[in-house]
Amino acid sequence: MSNSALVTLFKHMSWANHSVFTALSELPEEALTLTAWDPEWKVGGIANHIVMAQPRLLARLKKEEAPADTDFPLTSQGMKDLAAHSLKNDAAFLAWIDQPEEMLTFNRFGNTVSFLNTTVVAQIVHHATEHRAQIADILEVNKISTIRLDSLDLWSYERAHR
Amino acid sequence: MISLETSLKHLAWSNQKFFTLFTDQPDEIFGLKAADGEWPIGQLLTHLAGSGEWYRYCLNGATWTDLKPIVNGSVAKEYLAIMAELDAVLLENVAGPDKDLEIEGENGIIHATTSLILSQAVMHAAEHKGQIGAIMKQHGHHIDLDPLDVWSFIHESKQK
Repeated sequence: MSNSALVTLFKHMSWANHSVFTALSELPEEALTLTAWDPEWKVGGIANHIVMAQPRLLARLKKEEAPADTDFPLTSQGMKDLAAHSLKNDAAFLAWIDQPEEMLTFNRFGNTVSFLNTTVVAQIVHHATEHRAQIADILEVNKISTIRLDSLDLWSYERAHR
Repeated sequence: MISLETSLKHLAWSNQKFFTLFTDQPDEIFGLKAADGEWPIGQLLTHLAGSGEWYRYCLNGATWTDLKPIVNGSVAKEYLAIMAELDAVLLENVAGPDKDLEIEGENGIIHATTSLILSQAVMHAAEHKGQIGAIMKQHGHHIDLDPLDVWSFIHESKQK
């Protein structure tokens, strides 16, 4: 089995990211600056971190230069714009993942490195998943239980798309 | 073709790394929570294995085993073999067709596909590892998930 599982995983990621970003846009704006263990690592900042990684990873897949980072303001409208931007990036990913496996060479943290395109694809999903959990946890620590990760699993995704 | 295989291999590798991080942690670590009413770290770790048992049941009907709750490092160590066995089942299914599955659940038949189970396995484990990492940091314990990312997995694989 190849792409049916991968496409499911990507479509789920897109839906789960969008659900989290939309939930953030509906919270009081002060929630976007909440932190837990690191005062620099704000809820809205992590959302930005997820979305800013997307064009960088996509550029690696497409063998292009990574575009400049776009930072969305930590406001309700900023999160709405970020959610829309993320959907746009996800559509670009989905149009690109049906590719033969291939070694790519690119710059990572100032070093020239080589990784398979399948590694880049796996990292896209892994990265977003891990950071969604961080966002949910930081909100929970601050007594905001808006994001229930159980309702963002693959079962929920499938039920929502039947 | 690009497939889910790398994600599942990374999952198996990072599960081993992640559980190993807990084999020498003091007992109180396993009781840390994000907030009152939330699951403690030990329960989340046990849940990761319990989910693996569920995926195995969904994929090949294997019966459940009774998992010992992870309450200390020595129990966490026992889970290295359990996780390796459960993760191997996922990998066995990545090369096959995307089958429609009829799963006998507590409340009747659940319809799913192999791709749904494998995708959920990848997402679910990453999510809970992120959650546990966050709980650790919240309580002042350092745990760095960056060395458990896909880049690190591939980098380490290349060294072997």
